[in-house]
Amino acid sequence: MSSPSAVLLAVALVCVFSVAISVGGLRSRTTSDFYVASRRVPPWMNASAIAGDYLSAASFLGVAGLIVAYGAQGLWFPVGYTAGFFTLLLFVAAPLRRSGAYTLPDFATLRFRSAQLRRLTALIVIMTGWLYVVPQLHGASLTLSTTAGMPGWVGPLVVVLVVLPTVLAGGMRSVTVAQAVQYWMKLCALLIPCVFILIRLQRDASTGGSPLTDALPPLGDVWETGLLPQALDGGAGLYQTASLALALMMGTVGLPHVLVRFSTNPDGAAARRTTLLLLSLLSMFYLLPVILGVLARLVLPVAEGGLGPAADDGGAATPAPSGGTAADVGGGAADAALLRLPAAVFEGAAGDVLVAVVAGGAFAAFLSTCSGLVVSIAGVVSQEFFSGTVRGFRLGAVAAVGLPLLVGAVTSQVALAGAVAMVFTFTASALGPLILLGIWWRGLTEAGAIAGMVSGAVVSSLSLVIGLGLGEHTAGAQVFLYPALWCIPLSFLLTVAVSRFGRQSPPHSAEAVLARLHLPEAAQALSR
Amino acid sequence: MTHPAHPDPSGAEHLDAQRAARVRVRGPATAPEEEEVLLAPRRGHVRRRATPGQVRELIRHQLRLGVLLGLGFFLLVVVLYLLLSTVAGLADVTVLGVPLPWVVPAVCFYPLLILGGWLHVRASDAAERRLLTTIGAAEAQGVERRP
Repeated sequence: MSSPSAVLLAVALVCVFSVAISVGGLRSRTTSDFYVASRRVPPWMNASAIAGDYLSAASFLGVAGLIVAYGAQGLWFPVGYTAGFFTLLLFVAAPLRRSGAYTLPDFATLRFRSAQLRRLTALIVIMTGWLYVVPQLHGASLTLSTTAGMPGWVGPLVVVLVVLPTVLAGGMRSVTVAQAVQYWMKLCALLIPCVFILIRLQRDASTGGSPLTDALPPLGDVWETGLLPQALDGGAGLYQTASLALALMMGTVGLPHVLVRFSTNPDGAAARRTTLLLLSLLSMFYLLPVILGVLARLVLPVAEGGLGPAADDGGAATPAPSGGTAADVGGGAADAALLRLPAAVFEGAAGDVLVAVVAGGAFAAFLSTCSGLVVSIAGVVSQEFFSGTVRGFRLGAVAAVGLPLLVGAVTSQVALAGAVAMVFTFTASALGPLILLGIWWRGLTEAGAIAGMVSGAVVSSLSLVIGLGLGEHTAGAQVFLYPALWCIPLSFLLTVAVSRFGRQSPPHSAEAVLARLHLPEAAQALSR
Repeated sequence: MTHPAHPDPSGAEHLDAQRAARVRVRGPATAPEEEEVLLAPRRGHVRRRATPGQVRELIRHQLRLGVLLGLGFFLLVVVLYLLLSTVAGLADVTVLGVPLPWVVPAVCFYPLLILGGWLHVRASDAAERRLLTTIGAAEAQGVERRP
């Protein structure tokens, strides 16, 4: 058990930093500052901010957790997380920026001028945000209970207490800077332990005398064994991987906290460049949890998913819930692998410091993703119900964290990366058709968009509920737990079918709106 | 048929009347836009808009590009997974001591994504530039891009 004081100090530093940036010299001066940072954010800053926003608990703790739990299977998750931005670059980045829409409901209005569709989109966006905040709060709870022995409710409360003032005071401008810095903090928080652990293991291996390396299993075993060696082979494994890849590639397109960031780009071409930079930043980051996940398999005791020597502590290990959820290998235990790793390699102060670094980085992840989500939900709530006032934005922000805090308090631990993958399936099915077909197909009708959105939202969430009810080890449960492969095509097909064969015709403005989305800004200035 | 008679047909007074009614000509109240100053109609630099056909063509080009790259990547992921999980021999191949089923998903896809993204940015920018050149807005673009 590492000493709680170092961890608490690191977490406190991260929190103070986040608040200081928003209260300090970066206060928003105008409403435009507040909402879109006055559209003056350069690509590298924007890319760092989006990466800071996007790399959540699932990426920071969850990826290593999945590698510990599933072995090589877990490596496909970060590929999907990154590939989501590839899709965003290919189909959404520049057109969305050119649309000038700040939120998805704005985009729906631009395309269809329909209050009904606008309300529905807003509802789905708010639901997505809520679903996404919950795993962040779980992660915060897990971090503080694993490393500092705090009760489960402390972590979420700390996150909420830091995020709310930050967002309330500063809006988008301060959040952009804070998140850009938080990306680099997260990177360092994994890089530093990674380097130190590698050096230590290297030295132990060369001198050969350490008790640690004596107890280590041969490297070959790391690749072979996992907690679930038999769970995912053959057709089920292929189905799950394909489904996951599709969900992650399509789901990013509908994430409100990511989309809202694109409105801070100066123009469409800059939006593309930002996304390309972002792909590099994400690739750089994901190498680290992958390496650390493999190390965790090597070093950690068997009880926690690793192959290493018997545990000497493990007192704070979250007991594995016995009902199946995705990656139900004691979802919490596997996700905590990263937090336990430094202490398993280093004894004494060095271990404490490294655990504190990881915990601090994890908190940066929860804080940045949460504040991004809260900003985007608050933006939608404000525009929907308070005609876009800053006061409405603030009320929205309070609503955006209040409900997940309640939900998070009652739901049990679900593996972080698995829970986030479910949110991706939901957004891809519910919002994918509206965004992608709305941008690229002039034949889309309002009825079609509504059909796709409702069917996607209802079918994907029903399927996930059924899957969770069945438990992962029931035959056929994979089909419900990872519904993306049939659910996303279904909602797209319905959208196209209703648009094509329904009685409604596409809006007259479709042609003009599509021209606005796709023409470069210079050509638009001419055809004004 | 009958024109309203001039109050006084004599030339000098007519001119005086006109002078009194003369309106001083001023330039436009707003400053000219950069495009207005720089576009020279005599050299063929005229404001033109993209025709609906050109817009459609641009959209179709960008969509084809996106689908090609996106679908290509998705299929690559699925095919590689299939290969790695079914061909037994591949699991025994190691790179620096790490078996192929670990190396491929851990490091191989990221460079591909960055490369694909770079290709897309290049190709889609080029398509937009082509359209701008066609409609004669390339000069205007140069003006617009200047901060």
